[in-house]
Amino acid sequence: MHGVKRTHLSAQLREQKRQQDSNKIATYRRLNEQILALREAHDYSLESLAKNSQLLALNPEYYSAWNYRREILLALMAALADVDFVDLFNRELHFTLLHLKRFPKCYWIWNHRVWVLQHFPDIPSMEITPALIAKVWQTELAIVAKLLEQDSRNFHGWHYRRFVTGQMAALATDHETGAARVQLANIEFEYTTQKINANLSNYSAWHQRSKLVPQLLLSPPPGSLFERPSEFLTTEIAYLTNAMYTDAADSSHWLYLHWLLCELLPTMPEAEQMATLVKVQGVVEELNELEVEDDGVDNKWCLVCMGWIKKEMYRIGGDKGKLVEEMLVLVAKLVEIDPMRKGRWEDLVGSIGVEHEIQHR
Amino acid sequence: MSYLTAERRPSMVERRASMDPQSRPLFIPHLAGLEKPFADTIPTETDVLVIGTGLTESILAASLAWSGSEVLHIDANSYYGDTTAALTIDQIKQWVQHVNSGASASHQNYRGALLYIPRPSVLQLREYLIDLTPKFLFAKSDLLDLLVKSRVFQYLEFQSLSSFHVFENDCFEKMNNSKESIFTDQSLTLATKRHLMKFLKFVLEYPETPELWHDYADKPLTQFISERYKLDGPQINEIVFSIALSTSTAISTAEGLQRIRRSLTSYDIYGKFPVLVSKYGGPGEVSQGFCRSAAVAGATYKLGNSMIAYDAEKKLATFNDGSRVVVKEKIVCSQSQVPQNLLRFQDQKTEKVEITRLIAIVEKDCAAWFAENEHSAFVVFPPDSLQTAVSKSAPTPATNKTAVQIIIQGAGAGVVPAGQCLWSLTTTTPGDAGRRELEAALMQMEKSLLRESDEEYELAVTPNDVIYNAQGTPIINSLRVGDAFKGFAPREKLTYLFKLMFSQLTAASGVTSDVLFTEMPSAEISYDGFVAEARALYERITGSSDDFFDVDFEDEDEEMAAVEEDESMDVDEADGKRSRRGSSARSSRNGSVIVPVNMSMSSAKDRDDEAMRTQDDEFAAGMDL
Amino acid sequence: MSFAREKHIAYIDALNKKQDDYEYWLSEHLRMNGLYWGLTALCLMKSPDTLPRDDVIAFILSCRDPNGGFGAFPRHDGHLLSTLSAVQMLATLDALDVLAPSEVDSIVAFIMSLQLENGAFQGDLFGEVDTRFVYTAINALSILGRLTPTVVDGAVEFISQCANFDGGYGMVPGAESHAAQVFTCVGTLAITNRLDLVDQELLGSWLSERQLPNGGLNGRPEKLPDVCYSWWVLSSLAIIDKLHWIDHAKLYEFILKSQDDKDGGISDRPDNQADVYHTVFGIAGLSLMGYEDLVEVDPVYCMPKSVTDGFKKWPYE
Repeated sequence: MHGVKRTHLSAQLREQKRQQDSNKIATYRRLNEQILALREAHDYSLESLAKNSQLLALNPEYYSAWNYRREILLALMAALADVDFVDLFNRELHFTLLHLKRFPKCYWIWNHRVWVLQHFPDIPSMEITPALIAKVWQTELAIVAKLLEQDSRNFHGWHYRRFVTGQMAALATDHETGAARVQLANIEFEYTTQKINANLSNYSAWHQRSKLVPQLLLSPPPGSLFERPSEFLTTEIAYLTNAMYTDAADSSHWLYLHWLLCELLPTMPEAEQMATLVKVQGVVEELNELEVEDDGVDNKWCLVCMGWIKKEMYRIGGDKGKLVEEMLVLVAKLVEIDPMRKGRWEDLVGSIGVEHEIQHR
Repeated sequence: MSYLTAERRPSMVERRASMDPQSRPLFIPHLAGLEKPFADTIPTETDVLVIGTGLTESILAASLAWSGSEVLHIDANSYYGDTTAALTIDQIKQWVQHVNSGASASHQNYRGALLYIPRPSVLQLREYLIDLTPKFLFAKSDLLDLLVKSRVFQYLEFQSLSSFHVFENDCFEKMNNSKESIFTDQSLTLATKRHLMKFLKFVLEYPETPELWHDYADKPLTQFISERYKLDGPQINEIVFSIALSTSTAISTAEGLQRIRRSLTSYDIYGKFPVLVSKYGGPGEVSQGFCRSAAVAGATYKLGNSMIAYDAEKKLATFNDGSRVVVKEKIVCSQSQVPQNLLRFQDQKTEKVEITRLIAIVEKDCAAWFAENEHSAFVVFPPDSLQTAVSKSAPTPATNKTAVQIIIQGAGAGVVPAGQCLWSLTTTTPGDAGRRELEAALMQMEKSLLRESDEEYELAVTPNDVIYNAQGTPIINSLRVGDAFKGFAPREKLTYLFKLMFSQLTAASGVTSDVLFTEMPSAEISYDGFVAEARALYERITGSSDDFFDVDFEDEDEEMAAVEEDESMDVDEADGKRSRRGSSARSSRNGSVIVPVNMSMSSAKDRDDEAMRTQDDEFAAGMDL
Repeated sequence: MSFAREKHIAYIDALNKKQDDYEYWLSEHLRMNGLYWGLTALCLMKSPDTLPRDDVIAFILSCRDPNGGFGAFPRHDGHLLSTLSAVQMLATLDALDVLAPSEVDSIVAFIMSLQLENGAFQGDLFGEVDTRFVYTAINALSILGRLTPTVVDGAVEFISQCANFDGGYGMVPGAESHAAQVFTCVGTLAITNRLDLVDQELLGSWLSERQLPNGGLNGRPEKLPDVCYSWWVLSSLAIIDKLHWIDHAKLYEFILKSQDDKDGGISDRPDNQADVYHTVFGIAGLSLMGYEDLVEVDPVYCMPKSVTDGFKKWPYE
């Protein structure tokens, strides 16, 4: 468990707890026995489903109970039981949502919801039309948007969002799939912008952005900025400049910048690469100077970023000797301002030195 | 002793149905019936007599009643709320008469009331509620805590208020009080953003870093911000007048930081806003809520009742209805309705501070000033931002000495009918100068409103009006905008349906052994101060404040709410930790903020700490390695 | 504060006697895992015999599922997670021979049946996919000496797709980096001898940033520190030879402060409730850093190195 405050119960309180627990234990064990017995007897009915719901309400992490639940649903479908399946499945969704509200990070509940949604098309019913399926996924998107509003770092939520948008793309007819995927990717990209605007430190959003950008550059949505990669890069760097000035201490946008400079930029024409590196270096140096002025000490991320930039410059052909010297100066400062990671900075010195030696033997 | 058990005394007040807005009958005081107890329940003795049903007195009455004291709570007026009441138009007319005649015992410390109703036939009288003392409630505040704890919030409906405007360069700028608004504000330079963010971060932790500001503690906040955080004019004004809500530039750093922090920590507790307003009037509603609570706990209420004689030796009070009561413990009296026989107990030497208010109802909806789904906004004119009119007694042109603070409310707040708007302006500049400042502010508001809503008005922007910020984004120079607006001649005139101006004197309370006086409402625009005052009085009366509202208000609905199924797409109550109580508040579609029963400040603090740092705890389920 | 070894041993010993606690019954679905956590912690603390060997083995065997795997508790469904714990414990107790060759075959078949076309593994037939399960499968197969090129190549391919912009790994392709997933991915690559696929410097940097000023480690940016990350982050660093990229002394302090020095056990952070999961990972973290006279732990398996040294290394000759 996580986040539970420690309590040392006195003998009296311990006894009190024991008494309170004994009823709960009796109830739970009885219910558990019933479910295990029903399952072993292959009882796949609405009644056993209802009992199963009671057990899961008490313990949503009981994975075997979820398995049994799915067996019941599958068996009912296979037997073409006289059941309104659309209603049944909707109630399953309801059930998971109810418990997700209490435990939004429980894998087992999310899994069951996904499983139910994936099996929707298998429902033996005339009502299952493509339009209905599409609507189901739209609803899911709305739900997960709400959840991410509540807790924008819940990776289950982000995962689920990707899952839902993936399903929506897959719904497009064959010849539309490409265009649909591009559309969706663009929407998701806008979504990350929205999330970052709402909270600069939203690492999950920056991460998502890093996945979407290569896709969008590869297949740019017609009329979008992605059709002009240089322009996109300039805009993105301006966005990141805004971020670093607003909050220089937050790591998310720095790491995204690293990715931009070291993964994306190298795919651009060489002349542009050096120009961009020089520009960003200027911005970061200026910011660092302001930080030194205000706080009396260099900003760690500015230094680390300058190190990345110089390393890239070294690679594409700057003044190697000078760059190495500058990098060593940066590293020396880092050892001073971030002593917890001394081992890392010292290794960096080593690797810069060794690399340079090898290159210039 | 718990009052909320099954055996509790049935009370005439348990009519939650009457709180249904649809059925709200505006002429009948909401607690009708409370104050006319059956003859045989009129006490001949009581522990505490409370005179005046203002907010402090009502909180006090409830706290005393819940801890077991017998309370007799009276008010000379025929309505609840006293100095904090929300009055109908007819009640205002009477009120003005009483204030000006000076004869009434229940309108002390008010003077100079002016009322202007140009077209009385047009006023749909039933639909107006005028707050004598407008206030808003910080999300992180002692009163909100108390409202939740005492369950009084159930009687009230709260709405969010996120629009804070500072009048700057002849237009209204919105406040930047969060990382989000700073990051997305296109008009700020990068340097300003950086400094603003640093300042906000500093303020959130400032109690823990005294070395960073102790040297400036008694110096002006403006000096601190400008010297230490290199911010200037517009940002300083915003911080001092819109976030700290100060009325003067002289505010000290120590006081200012505390006020700024109050706002910042209130932000994002229930949503993207720092304050809440109650629908259907402010403190008046809240007072009634506490009176209702007090009545449930056994207090007796009498309106239209005043004390006509008091025998200090026998501690015997005689009332205008002929009844007589022995007050065993203390009398608590509002300064607005001190009876003749208690005047001698009052300390007359305290200094009085004057507040002047101007309330106007205009025939225009002010939706442009409200955020989406909201019905209230705050506007402030910093000192020196208004030119006050020249007059015979004041021939030299001047500017406003103190800030003019304004709360604007629309029909959705339940205080005016659709298509109209209520403006409540306050100044702490005394005398006629203060009144001129209010008028100047009113004129400016009128100009701006007409301009905002004139669809045909086009701002002629030339290339000279455009400047480029650091990212290369073009933005319109607001100074230029201001100049352009100066030449604006509105096509229409604004119709005023109502104007009320009056001054109120605040005075510190005096105290003797038997009689305690409560203060007149202060100029403070938030509800800060009421609970503290009530608590201090409580301690004076009972000897200690440890059991102030220390009651377990059980709520049968609590368990039910936890298991309630929700048909809609709302997943707002997600809370993954079994060990933690509380769930978040929801903003419903019409802008009301619904505070769930089990929300308390401690769980909000948990959310503070963990807001962006919650653990990924379910790995336990899978990580067995 | 000092390391309360005896208290922790007593704490683990008492876990099975908590039958009066509601939580005990609510965690049956974790029992196999819990047993593995407890046994490993005891072994690291040089107290391997505290839990009677025969009882442990009997319990493990009672959880066999006809599907070939092991469930978390008798009558619970076989799942990769509990299967791994079962196999790990049998190896630690040097009791793999209680399984007949045909039984081993059925376990292997169960595990292999869960691999998907893209190389990923499901947790069980109900389809949950996650890099945790890839690690679980590869780990179990390596203990049993039954890895195959197909299984390995598929797993490695899937893991590679889970690499992110920050050098870390997520639970599926596209998912955000998380320290626990980093461990499972890097662990898998270590077992399959493909650490060349890791951007070790970038990942090492990201991992080193998990250390917060109070010395504790978090699982991803902007989160609170948690003792279990002393394992996930630390072992990942150890595997890529960057164990020295964080401050050991400060982490040591954080772990010690998270002990319950009254009733034993370690919790996620100071002053919280202890549990066996955080106990084993706190202790394993201490062992990795070389503190407190503990048995040396293998960062890839979270088992005593003396046991894992005997596993067949991939590629098999």
